[in-house]
Amino acid sequence: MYTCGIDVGSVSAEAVILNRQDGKFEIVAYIITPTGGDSKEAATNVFNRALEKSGLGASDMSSVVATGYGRLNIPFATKNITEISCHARGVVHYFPDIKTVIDIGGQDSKVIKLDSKGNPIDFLMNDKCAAGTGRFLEVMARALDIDIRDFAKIFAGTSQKVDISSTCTVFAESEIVSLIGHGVAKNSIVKGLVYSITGRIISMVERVGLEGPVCMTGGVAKNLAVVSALEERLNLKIKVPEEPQITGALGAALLGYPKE
Amino acid sequence: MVTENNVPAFSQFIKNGKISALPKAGWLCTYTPEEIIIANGFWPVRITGRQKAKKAEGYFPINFCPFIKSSMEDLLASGDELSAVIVTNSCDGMRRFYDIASKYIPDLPFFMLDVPRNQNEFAVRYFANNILKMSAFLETISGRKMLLPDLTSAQEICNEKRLLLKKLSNFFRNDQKVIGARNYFNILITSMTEEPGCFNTDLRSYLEYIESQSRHNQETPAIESGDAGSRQIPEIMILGNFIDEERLWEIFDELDCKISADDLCSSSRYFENIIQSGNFSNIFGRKQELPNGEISIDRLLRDIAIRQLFKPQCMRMANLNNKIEEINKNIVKNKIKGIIYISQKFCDNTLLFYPLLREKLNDKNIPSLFIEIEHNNLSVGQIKTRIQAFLEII
Amino acid sequence: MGIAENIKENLKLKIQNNLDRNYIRNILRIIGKRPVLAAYGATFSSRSDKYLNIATIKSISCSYNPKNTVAYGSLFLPYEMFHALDLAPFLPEVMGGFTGGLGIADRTLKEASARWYTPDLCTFHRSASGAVELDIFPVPNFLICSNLACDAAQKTFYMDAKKFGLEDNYYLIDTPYDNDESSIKYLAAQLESVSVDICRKSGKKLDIRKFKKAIRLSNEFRQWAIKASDIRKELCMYPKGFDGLNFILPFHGLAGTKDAVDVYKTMYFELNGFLKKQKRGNIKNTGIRRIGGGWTSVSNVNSININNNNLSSSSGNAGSDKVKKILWLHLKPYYNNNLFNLLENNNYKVVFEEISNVYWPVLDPEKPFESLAIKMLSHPLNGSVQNRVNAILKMAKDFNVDGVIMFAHWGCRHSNGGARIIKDSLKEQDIPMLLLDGDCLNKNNSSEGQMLTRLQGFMEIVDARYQY
Ligand SMILES: Nc1ncnc2c1ncn2[C@@H]1O[C@H](COP(=O)(O)OP(=O)(O)OP(=O)(O)O)[C@@H](O)[C@H]1O
Ligand code: SF4
Ligand SMILES: [Mg+2]
Repeated sequence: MYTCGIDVGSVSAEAVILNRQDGKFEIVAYIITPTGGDSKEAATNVFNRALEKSGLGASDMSSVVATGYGRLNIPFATKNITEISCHARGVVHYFPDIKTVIDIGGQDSKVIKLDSKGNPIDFLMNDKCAAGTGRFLEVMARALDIDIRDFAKIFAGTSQKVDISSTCTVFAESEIVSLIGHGVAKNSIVKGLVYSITGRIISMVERVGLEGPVCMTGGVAKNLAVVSALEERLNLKIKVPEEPQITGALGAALLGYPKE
Repeated sequence: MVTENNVPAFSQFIKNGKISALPKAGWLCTYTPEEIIIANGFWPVRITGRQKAKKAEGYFPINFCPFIKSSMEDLLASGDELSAVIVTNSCDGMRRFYDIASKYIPDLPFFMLDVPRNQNEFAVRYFANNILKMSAFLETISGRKMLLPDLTSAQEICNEKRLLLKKLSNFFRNDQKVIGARNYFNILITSMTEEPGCFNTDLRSYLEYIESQSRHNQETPAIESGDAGSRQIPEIMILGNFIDEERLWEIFDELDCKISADDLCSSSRYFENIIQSGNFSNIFGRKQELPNGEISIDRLLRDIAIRQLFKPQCMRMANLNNKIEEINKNIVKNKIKGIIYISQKFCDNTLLFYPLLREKLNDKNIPSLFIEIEHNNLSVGQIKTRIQAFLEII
Repeated sequence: MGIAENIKENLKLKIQNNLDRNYIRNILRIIGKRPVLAAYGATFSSRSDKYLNIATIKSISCSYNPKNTVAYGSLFLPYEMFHALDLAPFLPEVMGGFTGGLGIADRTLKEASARWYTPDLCTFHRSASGAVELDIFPVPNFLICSNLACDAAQKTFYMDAKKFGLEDNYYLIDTPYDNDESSIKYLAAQLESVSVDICRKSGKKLDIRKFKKAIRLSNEFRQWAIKASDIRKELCMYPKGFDGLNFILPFHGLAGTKDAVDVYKTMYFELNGFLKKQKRGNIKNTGIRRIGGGWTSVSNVNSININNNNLSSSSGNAGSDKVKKILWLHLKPYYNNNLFNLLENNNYKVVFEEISNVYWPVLDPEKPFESLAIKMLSHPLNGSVQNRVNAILKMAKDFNVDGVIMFAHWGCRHSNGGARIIKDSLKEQDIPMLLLDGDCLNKNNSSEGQMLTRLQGFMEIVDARYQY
């Protein structure tokens, strides 16, 4: 029996096709693409491409569950569920004992608390401000003229950090420009940036109360600089699924299965 | 640009501090009567938000007084060094600080001192009664009663400290470069955290040293007179709430300006207005209630209440006209050319006073610079540029 | 859109295009006339709503009428005193809220910013200040405020006083922290001296009979309000358009008037009628808390119906036909939004609001100032947040709610500053709470998408607590 989960986020859209056989789940195919300007189009696109990759047809899907901020706008979805439930479900699939999920996407960061059965019991989302999200890092990477995928390498090899005091994206950007102007090494700016974004996340974690084990999902979980800074400052190991960016879509696909 | 001070920093003069075995009681707001803490046998320690808020972030919303968050962090980190904390009902922020600190640090006893916002006879009576309650709270912790001699000697200590600080601030005004802004504001913070008796001794010897130095300097001809003397150094006033940022004061040391007056929660609002028992009873134009010379705890409490309510006021008080008057007097007396208004972010009381003040200053042609800061999180570069530009304008 | 809606939209547009005190006064003069007012009332489908709106228009008209002695008042003052002193109250904070509904908040907020009011301040105050600066609000004779609940009013009122040259007619009722003897004395003394001062300035004598009358009416209102909320403990079927979060004035500006009594009396009878209907219709209103359970079932996470054109609940979800009861804390967004549709469509009902709580004891007309002092000091928003927690826990229990939603209005220090304690206290009672960040007035300061995600996520969590 197949289900499909579609996560249309602000930056990226994902589709996951899942099969359940003898009570075991198997990911048949998944697709990640940029969302672009039209969330409906992005959803159709990832859905079709995932179907193509799996060699299945739309009629093979017993359900299509939509999530992400574009979830309300997908005509072929059989239901929609928030990222909060989906990320939680996706994480529990890999690590059943997780208590806290940190999902950092392009415009939202979320901290989700799970009970001992893996059900979400509480969550927090960042305020409207973009500082503390993937987009913030992207803007800063652009200002620094550095590939965001290189953050981890730079971070690991740097001991100095500058304090980035602005908590607002716009100000932080100009602060960085002025730091570069003053000849501050890019390395220590990167380190400062990573510390500034993790500071934001940590204050959210503090608000819901830290409880391990912790898992991180969303695109920013691929940024190992952020992951290791969080580990260092929270003083614990953070688990990351193999492909953290599809956690939401995977959870949606899992939630598409009916009660046994 | 002069960055070097002529005298060593005060920190080198602290000889007596940290030796006292007295239990410590924390306080936050300058409306807290320190003499009551001393009279009850405690070492009053102002909580100054040393730590950057981390754990404390979890208890407060994002858009909340950063000074309070840092203060919470201080208590979480080292609350066990304190035997009690006095919080005041000075603003919404402090009200919630009390709730959160007392709930999540349950082993530390807290007292909430309600401070009126009006300045009238009802308010004085009500406040004096609250101060009595505060004393009763401290008595339950110390296990002993506060007696009249305790209070009079505590008052002497506080008055002496205020006089010494006043002297220091006069020095600072007359010869800012000698003491240095950073050093000056550091001394003020020290005065709020060191054991008061010891601090007085240290400051006294420091002041003596400075006096002798400046006498010495006057005897030897000044070297810099040539170009500095011909230029006018802009005289400014700094106004705001609790501002304790070393790097900010360094900026003032680096720039050519003279802080001729300062009105902060962490400066003159702390030490101005010395209690002289009995003199205040006339403040409402009434006859003194007690025959002259007769001193009682009640009488002293009333004096303390009056001193606190009529000291240079915080923006939280009702009558903002009084505040404007205070500032005007300062401007005239010290020939102020411009005002730098610095507020912690999200402090509604302070922030909401600015529109009014700005209008009044505009009428008088006094320019003002408005700076919002986040405690322990200063964007030095940006602020320096703004202050420098402002000084160039005035 | 019906005719009534059309007329209202039209009026709104007219006000938007003629932002001016005199224009508003003229409009109010026209609507305030009896037949027009009756016709206006007839456009409301709920009778309580109708009474509320008529009383509101009447009250605002009075404050715009230059023949009256007008006093600006901050929200949590005892308005019994205003009415006893023949002052026409005008509540800038409430009217600041109206700017949201009228679609002029953009302009008032912009004006406030231009005048250096901090953009981090609560928009109710900021918008009101902008409206004063723009000469939209009536000219007062007195300005009375208190620090009850928050610091903002005492400052903005002072600025208003300055603008009107009325610093001497500005009064801050300094509300003490504790609710004890010395506080009552201090507060009662202030209320009395302010009353005396106002009488002196208006060349009148303080008439204690008027205080007694206002307090008697206030007690009568209290009774009906309690009766109405008792009905709501069982009610889950409401008149169309009824929203408890709109009933602000009867508790505040109208306190001590016959109008407030009438509104709540009407509400009681109207809701009682619905309760009878509900009982006859045998509407299901029970559910079993879900105990344990894993992730394998669809019904743990019901699909939430978000389609706002479709008022019926989503099909095929067993969990959705049980009405889930919500207690709402603080206020709501006063501009068009989909939050309440989302709740409604998924069978969530706001069964009670913090603002509808009768928190004060019966007042003694023989001791008016003391009684009013006690009323103020009983307010759960005064003093420690523990007072508020106690009130919330009691409401949550009385109304047997499934969850609590606290609207975290941007910039509200006192409320958001206590959120952590409130949430933790509810958690101890196993009641989930959602902190819904947003702005009651400024649409641009909150992202609707994010709000809906939070709300939907919360409903998913509450739904998952049920087992069928
Ligand atoms: N390989 C990578 N290395 C580092 N960072 C990455 C990488 N890939 C993606 N990111 C980060 O992940 C972010 C996007 O995350 P994600 O795809 O989870 O967002 P989203 O789900 O679309 O957004 P939201 O959930 O906020 O609507 C990017 O902004 C970028 O910062
Ligand atoms: S800065 Fe504001 S909130 Fe903080 S202590 Fe001062 S008045 Fe209170
Ligand atoms: Mg996402």
